[in-house]
Amino acid sequence: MKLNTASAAVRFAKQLEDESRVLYERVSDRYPEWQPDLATFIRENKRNVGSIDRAYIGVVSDALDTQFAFEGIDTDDYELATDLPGSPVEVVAVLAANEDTIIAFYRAASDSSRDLLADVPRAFDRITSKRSRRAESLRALADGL
Amino acid sequence: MTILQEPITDPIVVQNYVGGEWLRSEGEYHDIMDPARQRVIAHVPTSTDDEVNDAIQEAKDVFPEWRSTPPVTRARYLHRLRELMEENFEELSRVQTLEHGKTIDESRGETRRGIEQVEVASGIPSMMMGYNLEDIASGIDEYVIRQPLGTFAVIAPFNFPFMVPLWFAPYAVATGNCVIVKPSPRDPISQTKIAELVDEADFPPGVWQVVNGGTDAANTLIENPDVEGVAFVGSTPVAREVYRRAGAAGKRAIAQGGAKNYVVVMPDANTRATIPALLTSFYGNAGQRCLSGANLLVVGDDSFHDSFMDELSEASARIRVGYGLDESVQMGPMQSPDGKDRVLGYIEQGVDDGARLRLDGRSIDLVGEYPETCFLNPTIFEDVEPDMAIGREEIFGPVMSVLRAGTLQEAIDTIHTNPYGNSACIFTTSGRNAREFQYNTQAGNIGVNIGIAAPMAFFPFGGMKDSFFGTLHGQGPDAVRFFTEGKVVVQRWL
Repeated sequence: MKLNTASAAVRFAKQLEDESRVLYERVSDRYPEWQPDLATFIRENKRNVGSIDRAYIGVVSDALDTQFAFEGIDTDDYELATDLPGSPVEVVAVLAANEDTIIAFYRAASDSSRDLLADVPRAFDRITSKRSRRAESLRALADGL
Repeated sequence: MTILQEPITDPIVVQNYVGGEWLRSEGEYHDIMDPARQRVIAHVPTSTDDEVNDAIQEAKDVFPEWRSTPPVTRARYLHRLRELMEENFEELSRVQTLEHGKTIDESRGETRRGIEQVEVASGIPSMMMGYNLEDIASGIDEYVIRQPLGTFAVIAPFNFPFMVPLWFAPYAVATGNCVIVKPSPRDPISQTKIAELVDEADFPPGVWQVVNGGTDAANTLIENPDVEGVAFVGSTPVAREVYRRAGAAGKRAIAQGGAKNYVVVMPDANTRATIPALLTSFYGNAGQRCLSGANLLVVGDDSFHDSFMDELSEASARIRVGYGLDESVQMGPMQSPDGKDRVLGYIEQGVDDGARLRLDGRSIDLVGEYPETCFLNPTIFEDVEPDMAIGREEIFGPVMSVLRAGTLQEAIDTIHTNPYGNSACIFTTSGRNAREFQYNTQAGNIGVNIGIAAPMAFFPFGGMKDSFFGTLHGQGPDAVRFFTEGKVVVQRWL
């Protein structure tokens, strides 16, 4: 589905956060030894939803270009893997790949809206930074397995 | 494609909120249609003179109590109202989309802008302070205090059914006055929703009231001697008349009229950011706002003009038009069939006058299956002259009239040929151009790389020439001054 309006883009961002959180919860159930790290990610996902909402609802204005800020983004390019493979190494690889997908979405959405919406792209950039660190830590976890 | 749930499923009967009670009017009723789907969503009354006068009397009765309520206490009512608005943010937004037609993004923007007014007015203990000077002569002090006047009326337009009354009403009550809001009879539900929250916030009965009706109700509000002032937003002929009649009766008035806003694009503009900003400016709210771009003035040679217009036309043609609660929709319908007919008349006039129809919005292309009754797609005219009807008059719809200028000065001179002066915007990467534009252009709201120069709540909403009648403006400190009398005290203790 092509995204164009801020309303649709924000909805999709929150959907990615929720899908990602659900996957972390499943992994956390399967691998209790990873729970401390994953619990942090799960909390962070929930906070991200809040910060996206605040950035959009808090400063949305009829005067800003909310209907035209996200042209060219296709949600099909940012589908997350939801099946968990059998081995821990493969599971972490899926999680890391999902992070890359989410980061790619936030970067595209931020680039698209940077000149048009003041606060939403900044929120997306902050989440991208956090998720980049998360992806690194997942890869470090995979290296240690 | 996600279509959000509609907030009203069965038609409601709109009531007046008078003296803290919901009263069913004895006047005639007419239907309110959802412009996108052409379904009846409400029945709204034309209140009788007696009903309007009853509201004025209620306000007069409660005024002594309300004006003596400490400002900090009055502010707390507004804090509570603001909280309730936040809690109901999404419903309030969807109601606007339903009754007006605008997209959900636009409605949420309107809700936010409205809430910001309540937030700013909540600062009244600071904003309403006077000033003083000791020893203007030995042992004599002088100071200014700001006092409320009584009852004010707000007569609102249809294009921002939630926000526009909030340019005034929160400041009126914060300063200790009472306010009577008369929403547009075309889309009164948002003000009913606000009144429900006012009621829940437990404002004293009569402080903030809503009466429904049309011209007659407005006239009663303007003419009743117990109304101290009027804030009006609408067309220029009516604004001028409201201002004249209020002045003749010795009342205060803020009267905001129509507009024909120019947007200038310089050859050095950042095209990537400019195109979407122009789409918002010209087609946002389906062009039904007093800050909408109407005339696009492209400065530069043929090469820049042609490539820029190619890109702009393609982007305009791609705009998704449809039902505002569909999140993928970028432009909603006109609010009424009358409004659409008016725009159609201007398009025909433009063709007759020799302008070139680059993009014909009469060819309706919608996202989804909806009646075409109120819908138009974006229209672009090129080769427009300032004295053509489509270049001179307010169309109030999604029509872009494109003119050309060789230089920035020529562009500013062209802008000044128009009697309106609500807003003017420039897109440029040159600070010199921007400064020259903001310095010389006669318009009350200037945008630099902003397509809709909408002032925030803590700034006045500007307007010049035939777009504004009055001295003080709505919003912020101007509104506080409008709703208060500055009383000077010269004092000596003997």
